[in-house]
Amino acid sequence: MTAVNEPGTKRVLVTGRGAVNMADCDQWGHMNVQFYLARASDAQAHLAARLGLGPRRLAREQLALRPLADRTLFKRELRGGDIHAIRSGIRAVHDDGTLDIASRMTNLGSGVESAAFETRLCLVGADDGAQPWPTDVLAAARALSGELPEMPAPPPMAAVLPPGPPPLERLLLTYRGSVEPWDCDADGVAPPRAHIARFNDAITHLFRAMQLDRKALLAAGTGSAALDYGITYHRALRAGTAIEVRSGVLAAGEKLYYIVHHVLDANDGGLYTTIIVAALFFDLKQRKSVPMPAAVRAAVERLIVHA
Amino acid sequence: MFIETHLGRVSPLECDQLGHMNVQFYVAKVSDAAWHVMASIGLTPAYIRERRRAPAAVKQEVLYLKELLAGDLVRMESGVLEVSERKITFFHRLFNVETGQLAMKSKVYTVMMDLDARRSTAIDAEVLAQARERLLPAGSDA
Repeated sequence: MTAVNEPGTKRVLVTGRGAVNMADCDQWGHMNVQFYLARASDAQAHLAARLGLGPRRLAREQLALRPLADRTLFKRELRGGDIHAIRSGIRAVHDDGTLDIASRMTNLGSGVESAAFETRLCLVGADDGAQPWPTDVLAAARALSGELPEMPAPPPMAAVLPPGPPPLERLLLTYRGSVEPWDCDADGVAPPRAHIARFNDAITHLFRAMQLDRKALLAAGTGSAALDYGITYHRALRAGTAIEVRSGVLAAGEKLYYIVHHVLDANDGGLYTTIIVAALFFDLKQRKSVPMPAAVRAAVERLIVHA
Repeated sequence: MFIETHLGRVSPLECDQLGHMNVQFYVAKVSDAAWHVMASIGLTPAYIRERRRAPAAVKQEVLYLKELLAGDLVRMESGVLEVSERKITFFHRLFNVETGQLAMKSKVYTVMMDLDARRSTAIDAEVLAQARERLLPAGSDA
């Protein structure tokens, strides 16, 4: 067992500790991506509490923490029965009121880093408008922020998303549903996990367009895994909202391919969330990446041209 | 000795119509914490997968001391209270991080189980030694 009690610098705090339950795992036999993000959100709440902004104070002062962007790198899979810890620190406090938080999840059984999270957070009021951090919290955040040498910032994600508004009419409809109260946090807003759960559903439909069937893939001993997420949260998504996801393939190499999903308001077409995913296929026995199946490549290339 | 075995948050999904975390989720958090305290005495995930043995709970006592609300941050500390050739008793205490209040105490009596034979078995000597070395001081469960 690896001890994660004494982080390397005083700027890094232990903000999460848990275990992977079988209910967290998907058909590929590992913890599904949405639960990584759920644990990262909890860790950020612990970090905020260390700054003096715990959940009861947030509720009392009608404030909420809101992610604006997430970068998540999935480095090693976690399986049912694994135990993990999360360490977090503040990379930067910006003049515009946003905080850059870095978190790392470690498998305590192997000592291997399982995931890296880089999140830009802001504080909002009951009307969703940005609020300044309370003076004491800002002072604590500034005191804690700075270089995090044991958590180097990851290189930027490949610039695969074309600039400008998404060509929605050329993207595939991959999910249609609604946001329910049970998807939402105590402040009534859907947290990152709820967005990721939709993307997880959407990918199955994008796979159909890629001439892939998840059951057939599983039968062939091949799994699919996300490696890297770049997420932008454009505005708060609340219970009762009818939503759609539009998806497309942006680029493909021998193994790695990039896809995009946009969460849209089904009524007015407004954007809630955009996620770019770098993903690959892997051998379920060897647990190692494999080239994209040949039959898939032609469909993927057709989709890239389309998107 | 006590070690930190869980650091998490109460989900709105874990709350019932009384407006607080339902009792079943206290036990779920004890279950999560158990894997950590077990690992601290050598019963790591790898050990369990390879040796095919793990403690199985046979009795549990829970004291609910303070309610927990959706969004509350929680921290569990756990340790080994008693150990014998086949049995380990774990002790867990759950705190509300923001208020510092002790929300729950639980004692879990376990028997080492052979995961293939599905029967009780003896605790390996090295695990027994680590458990004895790390025993909580008498009265820790008071």
